[in-house]
Amino acid sequence: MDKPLDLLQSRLDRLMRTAVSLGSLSAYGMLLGIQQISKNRLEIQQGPVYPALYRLDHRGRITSEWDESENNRTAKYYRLTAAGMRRLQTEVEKWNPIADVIAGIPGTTPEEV
Amino acid sequence: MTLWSRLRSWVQAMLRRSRMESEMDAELRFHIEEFAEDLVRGGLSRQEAMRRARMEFGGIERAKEECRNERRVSLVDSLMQDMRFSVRQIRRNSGFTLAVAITLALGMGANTAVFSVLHTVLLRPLPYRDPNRLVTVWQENVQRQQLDKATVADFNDWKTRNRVFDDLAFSWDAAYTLTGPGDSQSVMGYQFSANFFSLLGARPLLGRTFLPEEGTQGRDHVVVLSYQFWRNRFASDEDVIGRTIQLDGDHYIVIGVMPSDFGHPSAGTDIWTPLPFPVELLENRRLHVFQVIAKLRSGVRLAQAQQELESLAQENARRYPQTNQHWGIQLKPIRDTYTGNVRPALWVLQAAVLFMLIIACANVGNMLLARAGTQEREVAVRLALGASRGRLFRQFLIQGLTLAVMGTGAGVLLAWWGVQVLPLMFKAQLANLPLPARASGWMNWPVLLLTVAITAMTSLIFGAIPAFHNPSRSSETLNISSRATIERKSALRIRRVLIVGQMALSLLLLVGSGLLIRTFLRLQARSLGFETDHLLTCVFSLPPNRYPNVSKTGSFLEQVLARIRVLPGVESAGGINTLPLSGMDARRPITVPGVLDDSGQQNVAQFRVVTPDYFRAMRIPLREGRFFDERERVGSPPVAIVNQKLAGLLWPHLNPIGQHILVPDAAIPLLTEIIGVVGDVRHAGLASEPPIEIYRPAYQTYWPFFGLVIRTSLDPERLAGAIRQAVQSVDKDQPISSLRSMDALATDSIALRRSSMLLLMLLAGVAVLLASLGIYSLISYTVILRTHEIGVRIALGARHRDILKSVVGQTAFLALIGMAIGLIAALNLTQFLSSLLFGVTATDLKTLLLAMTVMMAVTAGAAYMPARRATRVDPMIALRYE
Repeated sequence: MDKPLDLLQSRLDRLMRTAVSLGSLSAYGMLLGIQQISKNRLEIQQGPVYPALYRLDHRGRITSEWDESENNRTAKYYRLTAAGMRRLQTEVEKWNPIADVIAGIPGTTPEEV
Repeated sequence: MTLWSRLRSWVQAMLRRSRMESEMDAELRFHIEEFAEDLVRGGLSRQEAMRRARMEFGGIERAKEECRNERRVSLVDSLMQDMRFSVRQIRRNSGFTLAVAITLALGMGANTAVFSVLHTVLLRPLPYRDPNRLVTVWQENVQRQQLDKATVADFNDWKTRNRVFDDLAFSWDAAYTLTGPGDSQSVMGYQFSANFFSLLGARPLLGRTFLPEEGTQGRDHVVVLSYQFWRNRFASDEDVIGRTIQLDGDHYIVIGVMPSDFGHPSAGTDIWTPLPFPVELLENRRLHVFQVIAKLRSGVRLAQAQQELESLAQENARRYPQTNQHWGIQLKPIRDTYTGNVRPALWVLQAAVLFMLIIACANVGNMLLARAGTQEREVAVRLALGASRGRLFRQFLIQGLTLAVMGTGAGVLLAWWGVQVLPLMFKAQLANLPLPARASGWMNWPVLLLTVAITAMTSLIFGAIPAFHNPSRSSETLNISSRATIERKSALRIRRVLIVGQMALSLLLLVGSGLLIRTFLRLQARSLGFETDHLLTCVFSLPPNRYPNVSKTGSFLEQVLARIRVLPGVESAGGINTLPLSGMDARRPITVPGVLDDSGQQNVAQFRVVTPDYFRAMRIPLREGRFFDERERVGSPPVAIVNQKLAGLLWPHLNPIGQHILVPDAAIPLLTEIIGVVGDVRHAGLASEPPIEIYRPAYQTYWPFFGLVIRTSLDPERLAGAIRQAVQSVDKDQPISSLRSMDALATDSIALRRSSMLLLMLLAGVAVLLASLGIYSLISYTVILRTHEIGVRIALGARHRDILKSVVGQTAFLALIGMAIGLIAALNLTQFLSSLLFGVTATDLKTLLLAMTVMMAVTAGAAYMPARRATRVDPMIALRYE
């Protein structure tokens, strides 16, 4: 049984997938990545990242493996699966038009309506 | 899925889970450490960095829990977790859980067992057509207040002149000796009028019952067998119908077999033969011989029929004053024949276990309400920490379920044990009723199911109550200091009401058992008039066709006793027609010649026929004159011995020795000389008064059945085999039965009262224990609630006495109210015990006072321990909790 995802949760999922699509990353690395991409504009709570990753893992969108980190620590690295990649594609296609619309709204003047 | 693969997948799931846990730990540790390192690089100290990293991460455990949820740890896994949790909870509160489970089990088990027995004995439908319209009809001697069988002439009047019965039927007992085929055996027979079976509406298992024409002389040599007898003697052979058996040497054709649940008038009846109407007794109003049943006309009530027959009896009393004055009529439901005096005992017992159930429920409610208070805080904390409500609910439900499984499990075991033990305790009283052989036959399954359901529901609901925590109270709840529990005004009020009820019911049970204990002590203090120890008894009947007269019966007795007397371990041996405590009875009217009997009634004395050594064997003391001896033979002058009571009645101012009385011998009044006076005997048991008795010598008077009493120096039961051999060496076809020690008979005769007393004592004990537990926990609870306040008081200089008063005062008041209610209830309810009581009235003051004293002592003890704790509250510690 799938829980209905609320908006925040689905957005976090998408963020994680986008982050993972950039290559094999640890969860911590992913958080840093998202901060970099968003130019520190997105503040993500750290705790909820893990349930999101476990959820994606459970659904087969990402896989994980254990590897040595730069500091010679063992860390868990996540990678997008083929299914995850497809899913990301379709969501980006759905998201972009909406993003365009939303991006356009603040600049709209009453005369244009 | 095979068991093996199931097991394997379960093991794998377990392994996977523990791997997941360790990986999760490692991953989170990595996260925190990386984060901390980045912070160190940013200029923080290592320690400070770690602290910041943990803080910014947020709830680690919560993250883990959510991860577990995301992995959808299988339902089984989480159930296992909840189960382990509830086991932990139970282990932590093992005292509490055990107390609740035992209380539930006691209430449930005892009620199921007692009701099952009560139902089997008193409520189970009888195997008859319209059993509610069937009654037994008795003549009652109003003077002696004693029921008796009906005379043939009176029966005839009822039959021809009543307007309330469909029909009446008559019967009498007939002891037979089965002489063939096979070994001879005495059988308990009953002769039924030809319409008896059809009036009962009892159907045979095999064959048929009597035809109308079989109630006439010459056609009456047919026999119906009981199920037991058919099974034991004929190995359940279905071809038995049509076979011929010999009863007392006469040939009878087997025509039917009754089903196992049929046994009239008692379960011990082996065979039934037809009873032709005894025409020779048609005018007889002296001999009470008929056991009569009747079927009420449809729509006629018992009281109505009673009234009509009563007026008939009054008419007869006017018409035949010689015989019928002082004789009334009693109708009784037919079921009374089988249940007798066990009925009030069972109802009292049922009421007692019901009271105990109420007390038990009150206690469980009490305990759970107290715990709900402490758990409310736990729930609030867990909700605040992010536990899901559903999960919480499930955990409490599982706790309740664990409780339910333990409680009902133990309860079922107790009930199962009870339905086996209870019938044994009342064995002697249940002898008349065909009873189930196995526990499963006794158990009332619907009631068991119901009590299991109720018990399970109770524990589930009460177990889950804390989960219904009101979230709006959370902050309030969390603010309360950790020691204190939440005082809920409504819960406390309920607990107070429960205490009052418990006290009242406990006192009631205590009074009841006290009355029975006093009854029992009174009985124990009495003497039967003979010594029961080291005395072996047996009975046999001497078939009239082989032992037709006194010289035959006399010589048989003489030879048997001579052989028994020389057995090693035998001190003396004697015979009597009606063995004391055996339920056997024989009465004869006596008159003193020349003394006018102005009441028109003769004295009816118990008629005993004894061998000379009977008194010595029984150790019945001789008061005057002499015992019987060798002089009393056939043809010698008729003599008799009377007991003290009869001597005092007949010759209050004269020496009885040498006096003469008229007593019928074979229906002819015989002038008999009194040669001795012996001590009185309580023939019917300790609770009975000694009857007036007249003894006649067995070698002078004919009687067709006898009991033997053998005084031994050894354990009497060990001589049973030797006695049997001695009898059979005189007549190999003469069976004997009921070889039992007199002690066993004596025990049986008080078994009803003793068993009732023991059970009621047990129930009262449990009730008092539970009630004192209730008091104890209520006071403990108040002490804990008010620790702070008590601390303040002590700090301000309150004396111990004041503290005690303030802690105990209210509960003591509640206890007193409860006892007052219990006292009023006892005064009104113990009358239902009357038929079991002896020598004490139902409102015996001593018993009431004693019960109150016990109750108060126990209550004071239960209150003292927690109250003492209150006086020892250290004000420093108490005040620190803020």
